[in-house]
Amino acid sequence: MSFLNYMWANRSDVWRLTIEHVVMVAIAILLAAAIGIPLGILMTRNPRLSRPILAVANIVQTIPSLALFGFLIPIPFIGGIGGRTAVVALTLYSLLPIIRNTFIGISGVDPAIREAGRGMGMTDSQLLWRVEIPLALGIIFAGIRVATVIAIGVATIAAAVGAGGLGMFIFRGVSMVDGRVILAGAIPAALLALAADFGLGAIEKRFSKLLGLLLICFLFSSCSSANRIVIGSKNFTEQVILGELLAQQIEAKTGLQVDRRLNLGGTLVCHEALAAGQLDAYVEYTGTGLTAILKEPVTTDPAGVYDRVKTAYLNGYGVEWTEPLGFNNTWAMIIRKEDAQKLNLRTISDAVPYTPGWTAGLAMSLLKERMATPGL
Amino acid sequence: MNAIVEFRDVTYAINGRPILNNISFTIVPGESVVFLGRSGSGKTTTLKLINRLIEPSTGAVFVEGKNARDWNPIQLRRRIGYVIQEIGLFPHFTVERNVGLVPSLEAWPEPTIHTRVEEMLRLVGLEPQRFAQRLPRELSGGQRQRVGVARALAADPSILLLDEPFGALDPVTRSEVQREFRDLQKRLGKTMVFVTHDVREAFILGGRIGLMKDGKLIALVPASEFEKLDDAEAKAFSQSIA
Repeated sequence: MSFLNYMWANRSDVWRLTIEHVVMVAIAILLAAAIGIPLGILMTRNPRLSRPILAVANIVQTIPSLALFGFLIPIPFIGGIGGRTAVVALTLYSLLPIIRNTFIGISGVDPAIREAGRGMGMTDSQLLWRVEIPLALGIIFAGIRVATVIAIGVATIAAAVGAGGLGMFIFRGVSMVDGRVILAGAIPAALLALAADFGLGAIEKRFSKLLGLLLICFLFSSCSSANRIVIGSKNFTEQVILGELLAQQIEAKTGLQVDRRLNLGGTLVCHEALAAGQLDAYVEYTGTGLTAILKEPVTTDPAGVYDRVKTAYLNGYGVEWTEPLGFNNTWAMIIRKEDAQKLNLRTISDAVPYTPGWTAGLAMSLLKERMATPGL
Repeated sequence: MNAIVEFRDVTYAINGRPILNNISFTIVPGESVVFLGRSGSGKTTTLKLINRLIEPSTGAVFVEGKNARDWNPIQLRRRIGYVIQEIGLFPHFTVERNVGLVPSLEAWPEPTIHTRVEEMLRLVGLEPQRFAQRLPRELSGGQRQRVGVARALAADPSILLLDEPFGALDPVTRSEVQREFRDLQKRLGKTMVFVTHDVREAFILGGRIGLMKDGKLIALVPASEFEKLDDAEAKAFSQSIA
């Protein structure tokens, strides 16, 4: 049970990230309820609206969560990196079960009860507030409960956009290939989901008499202020170290306060955040900038690539490339020693005739950017 | 005497398909009229036109001398008691709150409502101490139906509409409740419009019986003259009790 030791050793982190996780989910669920319940009620009053509303909520539900987080980053006001984006994405995910259950709950009220109410002279709003909503409350609440359990799971992905939460452990563990670290995030998240399901289930049983909607509004502010600078990094070890180096240098040499948004979910997330003004700096590779962002073909002239990205970024995104950090970070291929000896391989070119029969293990970015693979 | 309910050439159609066809009749205050007919003959539709749950396609319905279209529908419905077969008691309300519904919608003072509810429960033969705080699911079918009647009477409406209110009861309870209700009706002297497919019930309750078939009012005659009607549908109903 070494992950328990790990969790105990990092208990303050576990606790802090759990709180972040809970706050993120709680705000998203409250928002989703504040939007979804009125929409569900509107659908019962205007049945023609029910198809389009449900269709949109359904489509949102089918967007893969990481993609949804990614889509939101460049959008002003609601997007960016950090808690706000995560809350917006979680809210969107939570809408469907809440809207659907509100609609089903209210539509499911016995028509005889509705007719009796109308026949005795209740207005539509009296019927809604005194009869339909109280009778549907159990089902509406069941929708909130389902949405909460889903949101607790999806919120682990929020770490990819710098929103923190228990996903931090999971992403960190994946990049460190350390199961203990993954479990330190996964187990508290699973326990949270179970606790929420059980706790909300218990409330649900007593809910039929209780009527009241709690509405709390939180606003996440992730704007960088005058004497603060936001440093980002992608989600692999080298990037996290480089980001941290950058941050420490700035703290040591300037009076600026550094906000670290390390371990963000990849090149695109970092780039969008930078272009949108959510990040002030991160370390990027000229080759990656050329191929992944500018979508231009690979060249083998480092100085030419640097000049090309410098001008294209400035014109395209208003982003400045600094002087190079001074090292060339290239890739290598690893093969088993006995294979190399048997086939007499010294260079990558030597390997080309054999590669059709090989299975390659490549980093995701390498596959996507097509910088190394075509030649093989 | 002035009519309390009057239909003038009323037709009601859904998507061009007529449900009620050119119906005219008048009901005077204190009278009890039973509309008798098979399922789909248009009797429930007739009832819903009176409290403006639906509106005529052509023709006009007058309540207390005023066109139903000119009534505020909410005000109109609160002046008319309404009992349906499924009763439609609110399952999350106690008997007391169910019975006191219209008075509380009309914002009567709380003590007045309380007194009125107790009075109504006694009227329908339910001991307030025993029943006021129960929920509908804790009542038998007959008790629920009595609560439904008490609820319809609570705001002292001048007209009572009843749509097969005793249809779901077992035969013994039904005849008990029917007799009680007839006595109650005589005592209260309210105008009553009752809908049923049960010809015995029509004879027990109706001062006049209106026979309906395929959206038409075939005849509206005193109960004593019903069996003399020279009509196939009337004979079919009369023979069903022979």
